[in-house]
Amino acid sequence: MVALKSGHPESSVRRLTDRQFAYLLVIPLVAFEFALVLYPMTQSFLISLSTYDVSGTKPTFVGLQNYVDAFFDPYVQRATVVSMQFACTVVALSVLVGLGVALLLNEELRGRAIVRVLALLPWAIPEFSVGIIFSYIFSNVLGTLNGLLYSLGLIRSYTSFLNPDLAVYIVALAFVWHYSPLASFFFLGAVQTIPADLYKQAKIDGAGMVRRFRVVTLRFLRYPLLIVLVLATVEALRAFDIIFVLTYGGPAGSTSTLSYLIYTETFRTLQMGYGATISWYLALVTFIVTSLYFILIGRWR
Amino acid sequence: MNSRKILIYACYVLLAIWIIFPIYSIALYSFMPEIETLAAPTHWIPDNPNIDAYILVLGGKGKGGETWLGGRPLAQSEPFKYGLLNSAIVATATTLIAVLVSSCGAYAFARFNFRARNAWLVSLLFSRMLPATAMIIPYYVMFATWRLIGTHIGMIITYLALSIPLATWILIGYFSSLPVDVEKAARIDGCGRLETLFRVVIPMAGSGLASVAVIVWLLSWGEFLFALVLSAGTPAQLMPPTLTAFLAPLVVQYPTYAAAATMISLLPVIVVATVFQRYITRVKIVDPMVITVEKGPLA
Repeated sequence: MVALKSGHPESSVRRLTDRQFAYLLVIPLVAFEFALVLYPMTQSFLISLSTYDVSGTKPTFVGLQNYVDAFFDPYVQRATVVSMQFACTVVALSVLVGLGVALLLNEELRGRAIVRVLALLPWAIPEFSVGIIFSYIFSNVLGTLNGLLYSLGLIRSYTSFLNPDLAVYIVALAFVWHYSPLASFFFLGAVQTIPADLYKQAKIDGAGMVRRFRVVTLRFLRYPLLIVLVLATVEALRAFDIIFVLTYGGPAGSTSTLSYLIYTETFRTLQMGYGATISWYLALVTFIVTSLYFILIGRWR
Repeated sequence: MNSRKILIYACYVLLAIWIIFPIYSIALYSFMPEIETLAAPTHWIPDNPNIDAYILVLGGKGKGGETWLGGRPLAQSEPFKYGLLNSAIVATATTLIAVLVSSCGAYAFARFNFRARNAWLVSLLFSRMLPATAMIIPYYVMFATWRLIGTHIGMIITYLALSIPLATWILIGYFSSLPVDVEKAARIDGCGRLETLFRVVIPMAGSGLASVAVIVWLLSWGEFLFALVLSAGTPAQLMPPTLTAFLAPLVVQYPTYAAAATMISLLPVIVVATVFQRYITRVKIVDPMVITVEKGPLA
């Protein structure tokens, strides 16, 4: 800003065409993208085509062998199933909770401002902290959920909720707690654009509350629903911190999703090439699922 | 008060419980002495609430003059304090640079047409498609070569890479919603291009920049995986790995200290989210592909 006043840099900028000026502004951004996103991505793909372990040897090119191995690997298959359980729970609950909260926040009542501030809070809390917080709820030694059920006389002794059958859903629930505020603010943004007249009109036409929701509200929610479905799926399939903190992929691998498996392959068994392969496999799965949404929602009227 | 209002207020209460119960759970344990945490059923209000754990975790002395050893060497209680400091430095620097770089870039995307514009827009989205675990290996190799592992600069660069695409994407929507006429008028009045950007456009986009700054700051403060792999065990160790490092055995053994440390790390988050709530929720993601760019020259 100070430099601008002296006039020298400004006068040289003045001689540029709009297009040249645009390049000038974009160059730092593009340089960053190249060096820190596109280049590492290419590297990651090349690594996925080689065996690369920590023994100090150079990566050996093996072509698509890792991909073939991954396809038949029972661990990868198991992790795919776990990822799907996790993602489906997260997506379904995020949409339900998100939409419910959005409709609630849309009501013009006193106290709404406070509820809004509260409603956003879980999103601002980092994912790994959410993991820590929920380990205090679901712990079998000191958990507050156990404490609550015990206080209410519903259980006789403390139970372990993070067991192989339930763990993945509990981690998903914690993730929904963290993620659903984003979904509700996306929905809220759309709900607020619905003209109030439409509701009045529907009411005059004799539509009940359920019918009004179906005929008026849902029609405006198609686009935000698509965004929420895509984002929730992408984020759920990427989720790592919360699993790392809450369960370490256990018990008995029951919460070891693909993104957690990538971590263990890379940093525990130190098969970096294979870890990179699974991450591209996960990217492919993500891409297929999100494309499905676009096709399905695109058709739905 | 009709029945509909009562129903809505009941839902408000449910929502408040859903949000507050988890936070209350951890807050509760942070004010208890060790032994009380094991009480069954849980003491919903601590018998003798105290802040000893907070003092000890931050490296202070307890009532009896003791420092927290936590079953580990004394040095282990120190990194948490430094982790907080490191995270504050890294998150703040990242925020400043990210807002500057992405507002310049976003302005160009929002106002001008140039070669490969759409290709670059798509590439901004790519960065979010791959799981972070996939990027970690190339980052580790790159940073080892450049000697950036365990440095503040390395962590700032990492978080810039994570946040700039998102920040740019949001700001493109913001800039394109501002009226072009003001800029044209400024140009006609003799403002240079850069002057127009910094004196006219950026001040107008103040709330957009604020929301992006808040989002980037929260993202850098709470990022876990890169912080774990690239900073753990170094002098630049950030807050998240310092916290989880003394957590794994702690949830069972030292729940009070882990709870206190987590609460300290959440305090800035809660303050920021409460103060800037309006800016965050006002963000509208606009598809930059469909933004119409002025065909003619800008004045």
